[in-house]
Amino acid sequence: MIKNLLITLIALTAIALPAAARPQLTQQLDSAYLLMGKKTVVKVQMLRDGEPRGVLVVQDKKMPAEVEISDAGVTDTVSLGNNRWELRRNIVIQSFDSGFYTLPPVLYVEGNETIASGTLALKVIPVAVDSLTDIHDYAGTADAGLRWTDRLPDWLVDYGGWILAALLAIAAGLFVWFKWFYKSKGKEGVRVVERKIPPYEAAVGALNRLREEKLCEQGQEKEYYTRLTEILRVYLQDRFGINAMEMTSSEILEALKANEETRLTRRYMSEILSMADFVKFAKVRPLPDDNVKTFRSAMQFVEDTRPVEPTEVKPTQAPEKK
Amino acid sequence: MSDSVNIKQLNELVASKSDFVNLITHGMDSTIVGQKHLVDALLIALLSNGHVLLEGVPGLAKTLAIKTLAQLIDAKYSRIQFTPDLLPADLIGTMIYSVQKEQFQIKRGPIFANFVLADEINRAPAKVQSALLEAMQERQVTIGERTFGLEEPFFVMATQNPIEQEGTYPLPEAQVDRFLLKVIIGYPSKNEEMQIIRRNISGDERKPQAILKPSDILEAQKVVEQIYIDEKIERYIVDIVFATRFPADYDLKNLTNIISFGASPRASIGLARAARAYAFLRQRGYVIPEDVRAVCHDVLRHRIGLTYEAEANNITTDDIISEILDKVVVP
Repeated sequence: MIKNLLITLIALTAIALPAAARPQLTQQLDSAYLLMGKKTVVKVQMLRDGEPRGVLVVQDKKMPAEVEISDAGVTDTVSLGNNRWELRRNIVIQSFDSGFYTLPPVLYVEGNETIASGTLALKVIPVAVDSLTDIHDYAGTADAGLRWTDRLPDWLVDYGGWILAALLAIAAGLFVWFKWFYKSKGKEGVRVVERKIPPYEAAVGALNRLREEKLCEQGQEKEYYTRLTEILRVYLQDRFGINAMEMTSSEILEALKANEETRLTRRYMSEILSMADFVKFAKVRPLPDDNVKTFRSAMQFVEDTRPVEPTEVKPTQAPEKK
Repeated sequence: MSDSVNIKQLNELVASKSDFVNLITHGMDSTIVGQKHLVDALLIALLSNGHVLLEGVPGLAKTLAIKTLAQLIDAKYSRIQFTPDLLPADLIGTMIYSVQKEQFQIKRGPIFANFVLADEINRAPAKVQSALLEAMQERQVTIGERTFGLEEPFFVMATQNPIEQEGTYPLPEAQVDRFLLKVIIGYPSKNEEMQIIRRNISGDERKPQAILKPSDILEAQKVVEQIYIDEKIERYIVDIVFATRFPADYDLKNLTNIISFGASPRASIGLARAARAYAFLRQRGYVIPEDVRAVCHDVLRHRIGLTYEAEANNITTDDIISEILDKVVVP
């Protein structure tokens, strides 16, 4: 009895073992239905004992013309332990034609051995078209909702607030400075422009003021002659451009001699300067008559060299013809 | 016009004592052609009791001028050619042992003269220059243990050649300052040069006759010392000298980087003294600004230091002085 049982068991094992070692190659779809234009994945799997040395072959030539392989994928080999191995591959397919199609089997080729998977059935479902609706043209450019700030440089947008604050601070500083400057310079920032007095008027005015001070009568002849020559030197400088302030008496006389306008009147200056040199540098005390004479000479010189003002010439009337 | 007594007397005194000026000028003119400025400068320095440093190329009658001046004044004249091997003893004298008397005797040097021409002063070493300049300042020299006063009047005219600088010992600023005037003489004009040729080739060399005595010069020097300088003139002199030191204060900022050092107080004194002598030559008993301006270049040109910048731009002290005179207000 036991003997028969063992023989039976051995026989069953002998039958079962080759079946267990045989590789199993399958391919399957998530769904047998596919919307037209959409994509779906064909998952290929092979399980076997021993490290696989062959390759998975996708029979794209046998694929129906209406079904396209978008991505043939790559084979992934995974060890499952106990010398058990798995091959995986995902094939992406797509179809634009509705219909019922049969996908060819996937092959595993190792040496002379070829194993084929089963075939797959795929139904491509067409997309419903609304025939009642008119065909529209391309839609216009969509408004992205840009604001004016989006057109500015990024740095200006990022630091705009700080820049504005700095400009305001500078403006405030300038305003305060201007206020202070004009306050210290003059009234309310209004610049007073003085009228430039002509040299002749200035000299005559200064000479008259000098006479009124009566310095000679007070025994201050030296001061008097110093002021007198200073007035005339300033006059020469302003009236004729002669740098008389930095010239000696003889140099002034030379300059007057060289000038057409003063050539004839320089004798007055000669008298004044020689007398002034005596008083200023030689401790000479002039007589009152000398002072009067010198003053008259000074006035005469200024009057004689007074600029001639242009006079209006009236047009002469032509005698009426009788 | 009523002159104050002092000035009137002074004017008369100057007029009486300055007669010889025309005689000397005439005498110099008869010997030297041209060089009017040189003659004036010699007289100014002589009357101011100062000394002259003369700069000019050889052959411009420098030696002849001082020699003629000495002859006209009947003064003792000596000429010392400065060389690199000259010793102070060659200048001031030394002690020589007399075998006969069995003692040291003093041998006086050429500096014992009224008019001394120190020819090419920058060719002698510093110790000889020092000896001369010390004698010029102190007007006495010491030989051995004895001190001797120098002749009166004592006038030194030193010359420098501006073109040959090799192997020379340039005078330090501190020593140049001791010369009252530094005169630069140039070439004569064409007409003057023609006259020089005629005089020399015709053999018409006129030997000047003495027209006054050294004592007359001493008297004139005393009169010059009395010439009146007003406070205004003094202020003018001070302004000019200060403008060389602080040009920016006188609206001369452009001179700040050109002047390395300004004129010393000795320059102010020199200006006043030379201006007095110039007034004397013009027979005036008082100084006017023109007198100061007339001597300003000669008095100041060797007392102002130039920077490298000025030298690089060929700016001379004469340019600086002219600019200062054009800016400082005349009283």
